[in-house]
Amino acid sequence: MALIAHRLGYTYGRNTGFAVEAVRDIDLEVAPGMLVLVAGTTGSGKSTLLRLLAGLLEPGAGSVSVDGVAPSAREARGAVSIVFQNPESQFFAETVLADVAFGPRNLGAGDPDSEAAQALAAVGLDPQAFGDRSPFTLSGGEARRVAIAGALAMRAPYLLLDEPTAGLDAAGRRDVVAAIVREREQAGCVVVTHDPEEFLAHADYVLVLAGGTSVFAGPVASVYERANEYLAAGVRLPELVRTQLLARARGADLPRMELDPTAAAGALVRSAREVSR
Amino acid sequence: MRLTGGFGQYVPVSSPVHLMDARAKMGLVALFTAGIFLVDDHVGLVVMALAVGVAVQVSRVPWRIALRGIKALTIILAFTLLAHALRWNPATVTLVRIGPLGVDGPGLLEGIFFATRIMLLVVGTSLLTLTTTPVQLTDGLEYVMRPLRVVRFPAGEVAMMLTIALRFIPTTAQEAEKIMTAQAARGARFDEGGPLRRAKAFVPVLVPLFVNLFRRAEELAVAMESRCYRGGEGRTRLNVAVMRPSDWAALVLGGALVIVIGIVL
Repeated sequence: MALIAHRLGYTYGRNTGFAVEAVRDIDLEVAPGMLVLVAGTTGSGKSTLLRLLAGLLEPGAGSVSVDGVAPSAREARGAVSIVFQNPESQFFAETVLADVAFGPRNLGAGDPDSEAAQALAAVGLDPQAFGDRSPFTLSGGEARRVAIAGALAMRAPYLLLDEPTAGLDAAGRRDVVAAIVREREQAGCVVVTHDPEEFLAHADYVLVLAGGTSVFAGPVASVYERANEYLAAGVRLPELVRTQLLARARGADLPRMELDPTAAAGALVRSAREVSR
Repeated sequence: MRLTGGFGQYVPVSSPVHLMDARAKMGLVALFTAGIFLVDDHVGLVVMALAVGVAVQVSRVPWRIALRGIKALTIILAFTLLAHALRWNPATVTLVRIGPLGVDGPGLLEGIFFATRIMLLVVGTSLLTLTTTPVQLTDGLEYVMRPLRVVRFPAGEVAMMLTIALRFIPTTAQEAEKIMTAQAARGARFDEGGPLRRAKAFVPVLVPLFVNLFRRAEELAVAMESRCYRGGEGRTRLNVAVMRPSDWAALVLGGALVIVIGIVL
């Protein structure tokens, strides 16, 4: 049971004079309960990879399978849910509840409104307070969470999110991260992000793309040991990691990277005390 | 369903046709359109087909793209062919006969003639937009419409409207495709059921598409105003288009071809 990409490749405009190879030789395995981060610079192939994993593009090379079948196959309908960049620009219904219920209704859910209400609650929005509102009157953070609720309501075992926190203020980002971390208990999540730091403490695996290929892939903890590879991909090293690396270079005794800010602060203080002794 | 990269969209390659002044190309298209309707025999049509073939080849626009417009006219072409080829109780020798309906040689040739004329018209005229950027096209249009200022025709404003409209065709198509993909990912199906169900399935695409279009239009208007746009009066150009001798030569050649086809042949 997993969402598996094997030597995945895709070229836009294949067999034309305008062919652009977007993704090449990508291997990835996402099991239920995992949170995978996909990072990389603009144009590195992150969004194309997500579309391939969702079955919205047919692989030009390699394969994608979701629990053993192709994601575009009829049997896989509803198995992978995807949230695109700026998903709030796809609202169409008169009320928030009706918009969130769109997916479950299409999948033939018994009680789509109930599924929608649960999804709204899962992203921290009170269905009673928000359900009857027009989706066009929401703030940026609320709209993004409603759009994510639209994907959660489908109860897919795999959830793919493209830049879910882009353009949000600090509070909106915090709420969205919390909603995704909660959902991760139900589904395998793949998050494409420019800024992996906000998900780092919760993630299991990091894939960094550059020019359509994988330049870094490994458990989150390996970012600490392979920081140079990570930097070579042109991705900014998370401040939490950078701080600990700098402290270690200056003599701090930090045997392992702490991904949670509180734990990192504790480790740094302990190390400072030992040095002062 | 792919909506981007559609019929008539500019193809960014370098060719002598791309380098021609937009006004010269517009003039040639006007001459070509007149010529294609002056043609009344198969010899003239072959000459026009050769002219279109040479133009496409010189333009370096891939044939697949140059011929794309024909696909959209399949029904019209089929209707044209059948309307001319099918005869009720034909008196002449028939090639195919089903009951009182028959297809005879002259009718079929006539159908092929008119269908070919439509195809040539589409391919020939689409070369204008395939080889000219929207900005060059509207600059050329503004120049052509300039004499109408005498009767207070807002040539600059109309040209700006055309520029914006043409600029946003691919953007809108991409936006529509993006929304369709997003709604499809939420289980929407656009290719199932009867015509009414299919039409209703597009509501989740059309509503956000129009909301986004109006929002973008408002943002664009504010952005233009904040950059002091006050209409076309007194505006200057960064790149002033100049008709070169080769542009004039192409126009003269095109005119000569039309005269030969329309009058001599």
